Amino acid sequence: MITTVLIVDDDTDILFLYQKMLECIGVEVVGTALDGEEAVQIFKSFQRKPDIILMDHRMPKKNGLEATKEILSINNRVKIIFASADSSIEKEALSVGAISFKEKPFSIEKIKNNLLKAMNLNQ
Amino acid sequence: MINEINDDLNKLLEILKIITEQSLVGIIIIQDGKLIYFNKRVSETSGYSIEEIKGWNPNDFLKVIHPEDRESVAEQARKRQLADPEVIDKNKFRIIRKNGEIAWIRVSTKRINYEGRTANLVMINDITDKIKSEQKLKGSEEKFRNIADHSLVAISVLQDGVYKYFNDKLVEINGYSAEEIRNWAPNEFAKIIHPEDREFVMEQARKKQTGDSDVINQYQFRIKRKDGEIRWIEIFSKTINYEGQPADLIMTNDITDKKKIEQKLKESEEKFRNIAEQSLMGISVTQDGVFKYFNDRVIESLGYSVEEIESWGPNEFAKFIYPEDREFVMEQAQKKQAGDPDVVNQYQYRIITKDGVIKWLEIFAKTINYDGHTADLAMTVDITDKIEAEQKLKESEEKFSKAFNSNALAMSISTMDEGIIIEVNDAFLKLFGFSRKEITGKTASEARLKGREERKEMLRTIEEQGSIINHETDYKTKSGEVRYGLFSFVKILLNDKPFLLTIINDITPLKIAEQKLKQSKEKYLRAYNQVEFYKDLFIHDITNNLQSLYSSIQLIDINLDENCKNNTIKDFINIIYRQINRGTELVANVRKLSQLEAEEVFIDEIDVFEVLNRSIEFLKNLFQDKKIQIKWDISSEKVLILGNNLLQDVFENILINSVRYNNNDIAEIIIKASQVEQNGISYWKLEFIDNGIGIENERKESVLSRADLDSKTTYGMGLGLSLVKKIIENYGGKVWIEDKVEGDYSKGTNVILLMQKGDH
Repeated sequence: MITTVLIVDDDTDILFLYQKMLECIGVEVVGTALDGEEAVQIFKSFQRKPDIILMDHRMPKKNGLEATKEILSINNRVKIIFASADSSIEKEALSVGAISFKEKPFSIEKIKNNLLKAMNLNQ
Repeated sequence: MINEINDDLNKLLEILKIITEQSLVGIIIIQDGKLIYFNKRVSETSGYSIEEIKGWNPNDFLKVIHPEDRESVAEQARKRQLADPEVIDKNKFRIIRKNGEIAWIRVSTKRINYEGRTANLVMINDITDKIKSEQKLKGSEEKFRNIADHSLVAISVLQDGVYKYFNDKLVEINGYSAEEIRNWAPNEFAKIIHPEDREFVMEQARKKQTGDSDVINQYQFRIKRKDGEIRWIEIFSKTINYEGQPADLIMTNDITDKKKIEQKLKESEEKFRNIAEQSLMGISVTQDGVFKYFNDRVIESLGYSVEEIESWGPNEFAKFIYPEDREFVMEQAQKKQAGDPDVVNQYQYRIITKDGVIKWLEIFAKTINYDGHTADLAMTVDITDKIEAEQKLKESEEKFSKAFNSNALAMSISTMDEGIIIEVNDAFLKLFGFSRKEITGKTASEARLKGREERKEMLRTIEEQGSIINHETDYKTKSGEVRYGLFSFVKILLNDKPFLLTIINDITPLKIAEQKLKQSKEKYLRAYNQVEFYKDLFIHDITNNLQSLYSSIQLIDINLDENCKNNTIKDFINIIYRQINRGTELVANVRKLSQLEAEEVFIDEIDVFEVLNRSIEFLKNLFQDKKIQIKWDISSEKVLILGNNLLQDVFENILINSVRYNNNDIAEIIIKASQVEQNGISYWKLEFIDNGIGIENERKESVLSRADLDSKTTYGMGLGLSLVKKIIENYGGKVWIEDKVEGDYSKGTNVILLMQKGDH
């Protein structure tokens, strides 16, 4: 079964690039959101919830931590990978339910490994 | 037989002669106007001799009749001669005796047959004594009635339950008219007696009307007047014989006013006695060397019991007076008891209590009249505590004086009202640079130490709070040097007058050190913030920049290896260009920011139109594939503001945001300029109103500062609006954000700049 991912980041270039990177490694990007609030709304709207959410932290309206808490309260089976330049929030991200924290910038291989780990956890 | 009859007749005549001659009644027989007979009593009554009377014709009788009665007597005589049936047989009138005395006689006239013819038998009784007695009695009765009628006391006679007699005063007291009282049924008078007193009063009245001896003659009770008013009366009553029957003679006095006065007097006496008993002062009356009156406070002061004080012999009280004061106190007491005017009414002296404790008393004494004799009224107050407090105060003042003069802190004492400095210590002179002569007698404002208004405010606070402690303020010395001090102001009493003690702790060296420390802290904080700012900049903005570059290059690489050819390399190259631009712009902005923070910016007059036109051209080049519509709402031909070359960065940042955060097909921007005045400064108000996505209210302020780290932009790299704010504030202007449509941020944003007008 193809892994499905929702990408959340307020930088449109990064959203575009993440999408291309994930498509290259055979992952289906089912949606993108420019802020935490939009992410929650999109997540709610999915009939079939994505397997993984790639979550930025510093975003308008709702940051990554707030969005993570809210999304996990809706469905705690989704795996959330934090992708942020601010490593100071790593502990907090893990404590609110993120499965891993990727410090920007990172390579395609690294994000691929993280996704595989997440998928193994899913199985 | 005839002889016997004659003898008897003669005897009878003899007896008649004796009777008529010795009779106490005067007898006269008149026939045909002639005096036929009169007896000796007639002569005795009139005072005329028998011979004189014998010579009288009937008219001569008239001359002895009193002139005032003569006519009526003559009238009766005429009627009798004419046999008038209306003639009066019995009459009384006055005669004038021969000696001139007036006598009253009662005359009874009877028609008789004398020697076969009609004659008048006149019987005369001398009733002078009776008349006089009657007149005397009548006069006496009138006198007493007069007295009773006009008495100030109500007098009444009660018999058979009704008033047989009452005077006007009774009417006045009970308010019923004389007519009403007379018409009262038996015992109806009970209605005026107060219900609570009625039974007793009615019983007493009944007893006295029946002659019962078991009665109370004097008592007081209440009546209810006709008008309803309750009044107190006092009666004195007893049983008398009135018209042959026992009756109750009542003398009534309205004592309502007296009662009220008595009540008031009683209350007053009680009040004054209470005052005396409860007084905090010892009150005593001394007469003939002994205490005639003293209250509890005297007992408390002396420690002797009531019995002990009352048992003291004349002047024995001297024993509780302190020996050194005794002579004076006793002399004063004796003088006042004797009524000597040469006395001292108020003084202080010491006593020794029964327990041997020495106390100070203050006495206020004077001569009074007590039970008809002069006496010494003394009021004493125990002032031991006060004397001791005064002593302590004196010691305290001495200590204060030492502490004041030798204190290392500058101190001054000034009058409360005018603020005139009356004393300063050496530390004060040293601190302010004045000589004692220069500063004393002047006010703080005269010495240019403090302003008048400041002092008024300070006095208000002292009045409210009692003192001001360690109030930090600056002050000037004589040389004009501004120094800093902790001023404490305390209200003190010197000789019972309020003064202001000012204590100055000079903290100028500390203040300077504090200021330096503060400046240092501020500098450090600024530096810290700058470090944090740039750290944040690198962590977020540059990392994102690098992430984009890294990802783009990797994706190009993958495409070249043909592992993943679903993307065009061109897209990634465009991203690389964009990210390089962002990085370049970021570097430029950082340089500008650090320039703003490091040095004072040179400001000159700038033509807004020129700068705006350049910024719009840049915007259009940047967004070549976006439709942009600029509208102008500026009526002036020239808008000059104070600024420099960074103004273009300001305009570009605002315009780029308006286009970038805009989902409409055509990005509309209205540029508006208007002139405003604020706090006497003229400004140009520039407004950039767009139809973009807008900014929520809670973020309107934060987007203007770097604190809003969530606001990353593609081209501004998160520095955009914070740079705008920094630049505008450096120009002495202001920047804020409003909604295009008030209350609905989603309709677009209005970025407003308030910039000082240029000189022209």
